[in-house]
Amino acid sequence: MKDIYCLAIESSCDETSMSIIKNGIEEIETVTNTQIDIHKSFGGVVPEIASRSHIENVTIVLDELFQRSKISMSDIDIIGVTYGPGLIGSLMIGLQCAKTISLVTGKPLIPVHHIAGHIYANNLEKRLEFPLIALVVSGGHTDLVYMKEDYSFKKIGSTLDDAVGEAYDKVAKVCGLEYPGGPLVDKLSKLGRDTYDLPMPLDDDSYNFSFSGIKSAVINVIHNEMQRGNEIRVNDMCNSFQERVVSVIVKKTMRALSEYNVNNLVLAGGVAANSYLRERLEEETNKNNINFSYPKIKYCTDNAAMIGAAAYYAYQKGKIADLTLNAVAVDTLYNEE
Amino acid sequence: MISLFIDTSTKNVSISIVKDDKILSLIQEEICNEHSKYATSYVKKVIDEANIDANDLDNILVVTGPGSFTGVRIGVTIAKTYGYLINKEIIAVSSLKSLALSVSDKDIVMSVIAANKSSYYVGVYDSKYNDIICEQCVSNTRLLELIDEYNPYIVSDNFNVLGRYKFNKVNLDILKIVDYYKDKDTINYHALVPNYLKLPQALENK
Repeated sequence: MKDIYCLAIESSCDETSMSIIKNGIEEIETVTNTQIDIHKSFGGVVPEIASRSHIENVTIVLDELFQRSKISMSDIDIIGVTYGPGLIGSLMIGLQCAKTISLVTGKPLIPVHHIAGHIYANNLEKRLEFPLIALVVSGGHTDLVYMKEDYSFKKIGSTLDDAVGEAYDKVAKVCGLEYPGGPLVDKLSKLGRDTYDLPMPLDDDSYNFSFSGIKSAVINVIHNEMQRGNEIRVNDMCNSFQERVVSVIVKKTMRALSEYNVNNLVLAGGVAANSYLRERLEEETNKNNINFSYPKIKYCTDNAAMIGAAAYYAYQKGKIADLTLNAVAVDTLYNEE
Repeated sequence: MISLFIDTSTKNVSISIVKDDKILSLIQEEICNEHSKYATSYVKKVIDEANIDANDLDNILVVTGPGSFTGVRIGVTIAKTYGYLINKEIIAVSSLKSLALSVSDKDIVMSVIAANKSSYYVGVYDSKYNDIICEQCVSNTRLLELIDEYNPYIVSDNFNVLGRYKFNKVNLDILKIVDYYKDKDTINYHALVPNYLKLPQALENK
């Protein structure tokens, strides 16, 4: 079969990323411009500033990708692009760029859902095996997804309020940690102990999650302690929070594997970089003889390599968009069977 | 000389192919918040209608603002990417001057585009379309002062009334705009950015 080279573009939040991926499994080259330092002083991503940065960088990233990969546009077979979900103004830049490339070169435009990308980040390590359960954990998502085959997604559970990464970042913020604080919570947690009496997140028979309760509890405890003039033991707070959150996620994930009778688990999304979550899942999957894979750290955060991997399988399934493909802030990947 | 003209800076989208002094194809439409969806397909349409190849362009002109931030970014992203692909520099066109260029025989023309409820992008031009004041974003009050000062013919992208003044809506005269800009400086696609004339809100309040 002929090799398929995908030029992939991802700009859903604060990273302008482009990549060339061969046959959905092999990363040829990726160039990413991150804006993290720009947004740090605001304590979060400012959409208008993100959009302005994307447009300044869009052709520069594209050019650097071709320079570095020594591949030319004529070698490219398909254009994969994140169309959503994400920040509309940010998505728009990558999308217009991709559509223009498709318009000028006539190459097919493949719409890729951002979460499909995160799941397929695992495919760059090792070919996905089906059926599988994907645990998608990021700043915008906490989902359990069942996949019976390539590019088929069925959601079996999801967060009812805050995404797990969002809860981590908010807890980090009230603890006075620098943005983005989620990874710091994981780090400091290792130095602390589980001493704060926080409520457990939703721990019922469903596969849904809820993290706003425990997040609010952290905020309340910190405010009360501050009013009393007591010192906050930040490391202990991080540990108490992380312990409960990870326990519930691991418990529900393991139950899903058993109830759906699935032997493959993949971890995806920015919070897949969380070391404690990886460790705990590794332990449990080992015990239960489950194949567990998680992406390299560089594929956990937003990147175009994962979009290029997913685009290949979307293309195999005949998902080709015309030039009226639009960016969407909120969109469900699921029931794309 | 084949030129592609793109304006997505306001709700009136204009996309056209001009060859020398003739319009080969033109789409001029009022579309609300759907620029992202339609702009590239319109570019494809005008290219097909003009019966040229996508690689045949000699010139890319794009309106870089001021106007809707998102709208401007759509046109500019298309122009940057297109310029990169066919290795052509870009001509940056002002939305305000485009409006002024679309009327003739006036001594002083003022172009006005509403930025939000209480501020306006404004430019004032003489009969040769030279800037009398530099294009800027002003408050209601300041705009009224400028009108009193220059007593201009006022054009806008939309029908609008401010105090006792009426703004005249004009459709862009693409041929005149392309002709005016054809000898102007070009800019490399990497360096081309929107002309916002306004800071993001997050910075305004800092």
